Amino acid sequence: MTITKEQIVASIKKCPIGFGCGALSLALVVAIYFRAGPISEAGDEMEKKSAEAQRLALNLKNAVQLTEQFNTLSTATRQIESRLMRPGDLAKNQQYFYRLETETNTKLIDCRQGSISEKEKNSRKTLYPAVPYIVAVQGDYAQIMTFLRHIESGMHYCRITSASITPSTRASTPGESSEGLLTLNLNLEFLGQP
Amino acid sequence: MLPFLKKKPEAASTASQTLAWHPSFRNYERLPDVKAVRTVFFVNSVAIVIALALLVWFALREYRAMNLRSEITNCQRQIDRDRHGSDQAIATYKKFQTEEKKPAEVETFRKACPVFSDLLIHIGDTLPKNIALTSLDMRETGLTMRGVVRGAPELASGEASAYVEQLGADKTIKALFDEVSLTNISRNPQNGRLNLELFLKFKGAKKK
Repeated sequence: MTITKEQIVASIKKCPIGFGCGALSLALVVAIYFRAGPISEAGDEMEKKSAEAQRLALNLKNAVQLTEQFNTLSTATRQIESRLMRPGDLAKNQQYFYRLETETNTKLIDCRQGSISEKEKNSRKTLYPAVPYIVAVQGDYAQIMTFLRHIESGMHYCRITSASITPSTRASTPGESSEGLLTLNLNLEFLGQP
Repeated sequence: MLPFLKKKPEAASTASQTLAWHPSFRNYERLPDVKAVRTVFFVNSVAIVIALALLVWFALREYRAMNLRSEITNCQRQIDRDRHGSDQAIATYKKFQTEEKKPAEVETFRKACPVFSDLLIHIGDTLPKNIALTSLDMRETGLTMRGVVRGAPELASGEASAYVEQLGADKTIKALFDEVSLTNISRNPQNGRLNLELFLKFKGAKKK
């Protein structure tokens, strides 16, 4: 059994509202189907944009005092860098110890700068290399303590890797008595400029 | 017309049960719909409801899409406005992070070894009356303290062990050293005094 064109037209004429609504429904279903993709994409894009906008707004919020803080930190860093030892300035470094000797009334017996290892020079872990020093001073207990205090809280950042305090067997100046004198041997490290 | 809405021919259903006493000449296809509510009314109602529901759904989706587009435009405007400031803030923060490492490294450098003068002062403050230190030797592994105990040897050895216990219980010492041990104790034959040697092992250091 075949449906002829006349039969279809007759059916439509018999029930025009039903057919009209059916056609409209079909058109809407097709439209909803084809519009589903772009709407979903718009939703995804909206989420991305919203997240990006939030991130930027948060960056701005967190950076309210960043410039001031950075300037303060930069000032502090410049102060730190002014206190670093220059490994190449041997004479100036030696002068630092002589000044300490004068200030603390101790006797500098030995003062040698060690070499910075290539490993440390090339190390990426540290920004500043450690400049090693071997120092020996003689003095009484109070003088030795003053020397230690001065060197540990002095101009250059310093740490003592090993130290020994022993009674002096002989005075560094001929003719003086060694009684009450102590010898302080230090292995030091100063924070140096790269 | 939908088949389930069609009036079922009664004769056809009963024909199998009872024999017709005369032939039926009724043409059901051409007979008019005589129901109180016409079938077309139901068909139209259902079609209209479906069409309306789809139309509302479509309209809502389109409205949502329009809102989305509007929000996307707003977000894009906000992004364009904030991007420059944010980029600058990120660049400053990166510089800040680089700068921040410098004081941190100084702090690490200074904290890697104990402050020797502070340690000496503390040891001097807590040293018992009858014990005098003759030498101190601080190395990577720990601190060796040599000293002399005044008094009779039988009492001096007790003082030495009490000093070891005192050092072991000391908060400052405990913060720096793992253990305190008496490594040597011997009498000096020349003056009869007791010489002692203590070793204080740094926290985390290998054995001497």
